[in-house]
Amino acid sequence: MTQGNAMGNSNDVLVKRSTEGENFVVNALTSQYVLVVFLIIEIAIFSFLSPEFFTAPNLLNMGKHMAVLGIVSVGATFGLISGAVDLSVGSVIALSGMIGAWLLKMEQPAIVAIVGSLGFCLLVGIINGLVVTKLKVNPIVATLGMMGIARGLALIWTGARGMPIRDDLYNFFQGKLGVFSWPLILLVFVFIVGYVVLSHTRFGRYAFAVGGNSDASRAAAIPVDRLRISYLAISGFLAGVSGWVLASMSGAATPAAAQGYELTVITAVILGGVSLSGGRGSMTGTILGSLIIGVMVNGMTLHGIQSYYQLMLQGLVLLIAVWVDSRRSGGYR
Amino acid sequence: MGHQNQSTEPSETFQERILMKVGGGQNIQVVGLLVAWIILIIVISRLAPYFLTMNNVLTITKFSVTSFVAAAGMTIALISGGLDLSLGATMMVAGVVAGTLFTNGIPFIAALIVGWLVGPIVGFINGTLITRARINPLIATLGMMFILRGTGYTIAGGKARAIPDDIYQWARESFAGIPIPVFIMAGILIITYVMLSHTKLGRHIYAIGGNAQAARQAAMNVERYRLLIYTLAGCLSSLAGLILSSIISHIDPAAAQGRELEIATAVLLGGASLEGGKGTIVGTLIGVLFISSLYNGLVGLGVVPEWVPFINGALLIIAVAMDQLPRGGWR
Amino acid sequence: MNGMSKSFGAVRAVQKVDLELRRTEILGIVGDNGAGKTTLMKLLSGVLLADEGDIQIDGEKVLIEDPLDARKLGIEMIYQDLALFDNLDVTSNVFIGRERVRNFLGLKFLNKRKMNLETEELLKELAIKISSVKSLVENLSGGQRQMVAIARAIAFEENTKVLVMDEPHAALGVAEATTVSEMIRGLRDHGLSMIVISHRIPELLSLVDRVMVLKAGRRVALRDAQGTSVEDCVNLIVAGAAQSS
Repeated sequence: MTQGNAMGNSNDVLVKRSTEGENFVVNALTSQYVLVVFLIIEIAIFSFLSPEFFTAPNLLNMGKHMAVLGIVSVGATFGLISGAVDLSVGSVIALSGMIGAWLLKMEQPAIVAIVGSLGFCLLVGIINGLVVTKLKVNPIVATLGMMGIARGLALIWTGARGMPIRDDLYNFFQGKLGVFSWPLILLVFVFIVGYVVLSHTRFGRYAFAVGGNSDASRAAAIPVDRLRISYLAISGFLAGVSGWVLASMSGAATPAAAQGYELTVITAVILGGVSLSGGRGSMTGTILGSLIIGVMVNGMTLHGIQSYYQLMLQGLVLLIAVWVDSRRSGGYR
Repeated sequence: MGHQNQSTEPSETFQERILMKVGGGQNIQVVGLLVAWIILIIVISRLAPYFLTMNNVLTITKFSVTSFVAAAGMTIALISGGLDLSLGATMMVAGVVAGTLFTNGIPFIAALIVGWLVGPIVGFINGTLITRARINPLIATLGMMFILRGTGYTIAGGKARAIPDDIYQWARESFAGIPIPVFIMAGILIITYVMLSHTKLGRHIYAIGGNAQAARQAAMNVERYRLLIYTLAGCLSSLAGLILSSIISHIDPAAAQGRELEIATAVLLGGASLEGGKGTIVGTLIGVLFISSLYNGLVGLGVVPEWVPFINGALLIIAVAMDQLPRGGWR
Repeated sequence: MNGMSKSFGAVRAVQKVDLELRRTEILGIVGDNGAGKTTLMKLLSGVLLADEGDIQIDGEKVLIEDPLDARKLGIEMIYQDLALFDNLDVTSNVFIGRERVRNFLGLKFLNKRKMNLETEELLKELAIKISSVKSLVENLSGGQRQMVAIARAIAFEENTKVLVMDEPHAALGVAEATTVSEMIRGLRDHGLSMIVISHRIPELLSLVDRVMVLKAGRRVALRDAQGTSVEDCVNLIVAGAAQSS
């Protein structure tokens, strides 16, 4: 097994050498080169299908929405590499907007709304981490449960109605700097920070150790529990940031936002090469995966495909992505 | 040999003897759940007297049946060490297919049969994804769930439609005072119980869930068993879906949305475990009854439906934590 | 086994090793990690195919190409992880894959009564002390689990002649290890010959008749356990030669 990831540098090895005599084609398929190629083909297809696809306004619009996906995916990457699927992200995105909107309605200044909602989402992530490490619950179940709890909170907070947001500071993400929208800039920033932390700090690299072999990590005196809580906290926090961006862009918060988004996020992350079983992956892969999915969503929406079908297609993409991942890693036994 | 062997067994205490009589930790959990359920019913009926009326009991029963039949499939999957998150979606598609065929002139029985066939087909696909494509069951069934929802949505034409014919409401009928679905529930309960506890197949399902590697060494074709298990789960889901669509008398692409979570909670409360090798159908039954009663009671007491996901999520975590903690849990 | 060799690429795991197992003998194999003990046993149990060398039983050459062949020839191996089902009881574990069934209305049901009785008989015969065959294996002690694994290995094949055990004393306390050793010795009365791989030198020496030392894939010594001290053994493992002390 290529342990390059734990060392940090091989994250960007674009062709993983086969150690088990596996099909060369499969390995080629999972390399990031192929993702780039796939992205290009995808863009070509959608440009062909909808002439307005490759126009500047659409691309910038796409960039804005991609920010939501990308930011939360960065957080999910940390979680998944460390072995913890985070199924609560969709609900946290909705919750973030709802709390922010509510605080604004309570006549609180925007800063309080922003910090309050982000802080709460950070707390949610920490609770996820605690449930996994202290209550020793499987992360799938823990975050599945939290998904319900957070969604429930989002619904309860204002009685299942959406709330408009009129605050200019909170709605900051409707603006742009020069030609680039703020969400896009934030996305780039988050991605860079995420990349640096994952590949070049001990904290980030430990995620691979914890996800690869938690017992061995414990034996090596790595604070597995504390790290796990941290990674899930990051996942929750960034989901909160995404929620802020989303609510900000649309100028309103809805409790039903991002329903089923977990699927989209997992698809993007796994497509980008993060292994479902943990211990493998890279930030560049995640960003590529997010790009591919973001383009797909935008293209499909332009073409008039409803959300039900979009989810269907995402389900299909997810299955294919995991199948390819299984070929490489031996898969579920 | 002649000489005394030094005893290597842990000294048997009185508690241990009792435990063995009861059958171990598993059964304790089920009994505990049963007690909790009884307490729940008592509490709710005190707060809301209508709770125990015939009408309401019937409502709870009908809801329980659809959940239970699908939960039986989930139970088998969990015992074998797997997981099936596509149950609700399968239920919906089965109902939608049967309803659509029926309202388009296909004879009633034929429509039901075709609708039911959706289950084993979906189950088989799930099983293939898991055993051949080697996809993690969570992801495989999660992906299928979304694919199925989209499919059902398409078939239903995007919105719910009523089915006016009386014959389609067979599940609302009673026989000898007992609603027909209850008979189905009893039948599934008995068959599943016998299968799991008294047949080779059942024992092997437990074995695979307990130690898949050792099962392979014992010459079990684990892949073939898994394929069968998921197909079975699908069969049960579509049956549940047919019952549901009959009760609501609608073609509804939003049917059974989120049921998976409820069913999973019920099954886990009833003693099954995500790690596999554990669980009983009786436990699942009580789990389903508990959850159904709880929700019915809460709604009746005026708790708004918005609380449902919250309670669901909290219950799920509690159920699993209670199960996992004494045994060291997830690492 | 004569002149067995097996390499994995550049790694010569086993080099021209001879092994002789006499009837009703208990043979111990010791050696450091990577010395080739498990590989050698896997050659015997059919999990691996030898590059060179041959295996003879009672003077006749035999071909062991897969675990089924080994089993047919009466060779059973118990791995270190025991391959037990913690969530099932003792009876279920012993009978796994070979359950006794009873016909009823055309369907086959488990005959639990019969299986429980037979398992109790088996345990009695092997002098294994377990209070109830209905106990879940996960509730048994390490020594009891080991003995259940052994019972399962020999319960069915009437012609089991050779039993190979990989680290039967692993993770056992002294008292339990002694009990397991006694049980293994008792198997001799059933006509079995045994090969035991172990790191626990003292326990091994008091259990086996002869001990074979492997080092870096080669056999460096074959001694009677009687005349070998723990120190000798360790020196052989480490240095390949005993020190006269």
